[in-house]
Amino acid sequence: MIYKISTKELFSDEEVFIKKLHCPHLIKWQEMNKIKGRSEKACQICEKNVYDTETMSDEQVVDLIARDSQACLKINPNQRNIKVMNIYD
Amino acid sequence: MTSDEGNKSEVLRVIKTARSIDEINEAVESGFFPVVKQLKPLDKLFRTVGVFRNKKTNKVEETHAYAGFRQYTEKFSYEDESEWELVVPFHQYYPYKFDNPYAAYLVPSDIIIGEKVVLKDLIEDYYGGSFWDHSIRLDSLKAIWTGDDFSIQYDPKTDGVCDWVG
Repeated sequence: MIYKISTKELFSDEEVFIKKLHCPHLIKWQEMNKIKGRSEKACQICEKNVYDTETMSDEQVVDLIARDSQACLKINPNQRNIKVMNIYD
Repeated sequence: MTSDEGNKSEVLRVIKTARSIDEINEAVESGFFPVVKQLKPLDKLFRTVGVFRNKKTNKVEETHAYAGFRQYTEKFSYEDESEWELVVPFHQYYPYKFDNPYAAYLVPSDIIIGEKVVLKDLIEDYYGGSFWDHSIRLDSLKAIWTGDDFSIQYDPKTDGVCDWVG
């Protein structure tokens, strides 16, 4: 995946737009509850699961957003499956 | 001014920022009070950069160190003086750019003391974590209106980490 920090847009490695990361509640990953046996966490505000893209392939993320465009994702620039771009634009 | 769309959460108003005199005065004419501030770059957000020229190809590369690791643990080294010349010495610079050295939070007239809001475009610099040789500046934080300014709610344990959600 490719993540453009300045626009908060996530793309697949093939540069297909996946989604723009935006949380109006400014929820923090560390504040969310773990779900036993799963890599997702539960957002107590929206009552939705937040998917950790570190454990997902591009295909899985694209598929998830195609099924639910409002699905929430978590990314960390240090994860090995993310290339970070446009850091200071 | 918009509100964020919460389900069961508290719905916080979003406070906008104006970054030019014209934009600030336009908001004032619409009834907003401007909390005007000077931009003050945070030391922690400065980057170290130097530029090396390859003596064989003449192509140049930017780096933050003589040797180290880039993304995906790719090693780099400019230590071989027969191959590399340091053409811009290592120095520190502030990498974020703004139109003016001041900005204003646009405060709505009906705000009440103690109201929690979202500052969508922070004027102040807050450290949002690091990766590789980059230190990230936070865009947004929650804050509480004190009557003459916003008390920004920053927790380095959760806000100073590059885990982005949305």
